[in-house]
Amino acid sequence: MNPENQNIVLRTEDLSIGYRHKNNLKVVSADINLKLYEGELIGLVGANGIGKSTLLRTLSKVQPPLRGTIYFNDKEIKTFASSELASQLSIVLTEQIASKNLTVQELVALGRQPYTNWVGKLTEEDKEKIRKAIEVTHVTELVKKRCYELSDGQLQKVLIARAIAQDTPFIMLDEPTTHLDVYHKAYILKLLKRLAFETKKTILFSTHEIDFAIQLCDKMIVMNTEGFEFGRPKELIQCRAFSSLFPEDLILFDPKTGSYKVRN
Amino acid sequence: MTPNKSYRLVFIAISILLLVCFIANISSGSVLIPWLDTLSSLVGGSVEKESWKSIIIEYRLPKAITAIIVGSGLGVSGLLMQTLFRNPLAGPFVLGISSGASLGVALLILGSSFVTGSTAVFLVSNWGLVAASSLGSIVVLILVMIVSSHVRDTMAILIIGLMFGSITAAIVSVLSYFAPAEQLQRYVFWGFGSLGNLTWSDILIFSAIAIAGMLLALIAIKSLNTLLLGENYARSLGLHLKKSRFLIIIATGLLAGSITAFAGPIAFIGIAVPHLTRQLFHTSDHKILIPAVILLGSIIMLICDTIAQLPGVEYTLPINAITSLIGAPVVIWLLVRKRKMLF
Repeated sequence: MNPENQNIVLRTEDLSIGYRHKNNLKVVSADINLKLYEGELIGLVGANGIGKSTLLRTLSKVQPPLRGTIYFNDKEIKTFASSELASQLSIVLTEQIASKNLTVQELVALGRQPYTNWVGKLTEEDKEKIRKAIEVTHVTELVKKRCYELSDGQLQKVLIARAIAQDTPFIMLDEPTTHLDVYHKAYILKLLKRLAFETKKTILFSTHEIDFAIQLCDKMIVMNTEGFEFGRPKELIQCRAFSSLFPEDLILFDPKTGSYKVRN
Repeated sequence: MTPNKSYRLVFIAISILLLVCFIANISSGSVLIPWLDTLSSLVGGSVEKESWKSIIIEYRLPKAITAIIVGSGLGVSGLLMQTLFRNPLAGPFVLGISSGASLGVALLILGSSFVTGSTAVFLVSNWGLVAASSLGSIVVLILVMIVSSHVRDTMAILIIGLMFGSITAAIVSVLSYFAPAEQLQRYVFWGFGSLGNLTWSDILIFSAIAIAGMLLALIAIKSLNTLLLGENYARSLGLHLKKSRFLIIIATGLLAGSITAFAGPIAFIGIAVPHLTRQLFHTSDHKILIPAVILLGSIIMLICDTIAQLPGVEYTLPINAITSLIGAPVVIWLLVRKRKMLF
């Protein structure tokens, strides 16, 4: 399918991100122009401290942009009430959830909060969405367990299930593969790939697994000190976006294998 | 949040237990009144001795109702604080609300020796005490709310609450150093806590404030459940953080403030009851937890009061000591048994 025929879920125009301290502007990254389509898996990579989290926070309206605009389904993000935004965008954070005493079932069910009544009563439709989210993320055998009983990999799957239950066209994950071993890193990213394909959701995640991201993502956003590149992994390799990601004194990007090699 | 799981049987069981504790509490005291007579005087029937009836209506029934309001109110405010501050050790005391009330009372009792005339007469009356402790809790509550609107981090609010407690303790010890012994004793007695000092008209006001607090807690149920994920997730689910926080703090302030005003500082109920409830109901859903905490808090407070009465003896033990003696080991037991306290 040609992506240009699909719906644009998120679009940014000349977006500048950063922080504002009184009259002092600290621009983290400028002139960001993105078009994210329905059903795409997008990886966001860059060195530590380059501003990946700032970008995610700006896109999820936690902090305001310095300049430029963000559109969700052609509607400016500024005009969304927080309850409206909750039906457009769900997130998976690196931070721990507050209560580890929650059961998996309860945790996933909390994803339905934007749609439930004042005491949070679940309708049949809500229950169906929860059941599907649990099924599609393969956590059915965990539903009765409490979160403190889960391994890091299992917890990550459950948090993704919660985001799926929230049933938003756009899901954002902040480093979903940290703390996981290499097998589970691949497992989670494969899961995201499958979810983007099966549920037609747009999934954006930040990661340090550049080689996995190159293999799995439809598009990638590369943030480096000079600015910012956006495109298909193959195009990005061709324009040497990954080579300039890190100082070249220690590691070198190998375009053939799509991974970094330590310099001898 | 907890589909297909019914706790109806447990609810029926603890409701019956509450009724039993209520009757037992009323029938026991310096004069033991048989259960049947207690029951019949409560429903307006005839009683063997007329004096029993007046003991029950004038003294024991108000006390039992006070115990129920105190137990349920402190339990609910403890539950709200634990969820809001994401801290299993939070309670109305930690926020500094009870310290604020103590400070108000300390200033009143210990400071009244410097005032003479009719003002002094009012100041040392019961109403003076209620006014002072309400004022104290409200002042601290407003301070906490001002701070919480400037500070995003709830841990900081928690620490500020603890600092309020320390400041209060320091001012109280300075005051008690200079205060005459008689006044000091009065303050100490207030600090023991008491359920038995309320008249029926006091109870009317008390229960109205407590019910208002409970209703606010019920309105906050959904916010509380969302807050179990943490503030950032809660915001992403469309929760208005400031509004919810405000609502929860007001509910706690009404409950803890009025209780401290009318019954004195009562320790450990606020922290222990929610944890005991979680042992019985394996859920984090506040739709279940709030009613359960109300029932269990009432039961525990009635039991504590029954123990404080020492059946058949003239003396009444300080209620605050009983709740601490029961509450503190419960918290320790939970910590030792479960290694970590979860909320």
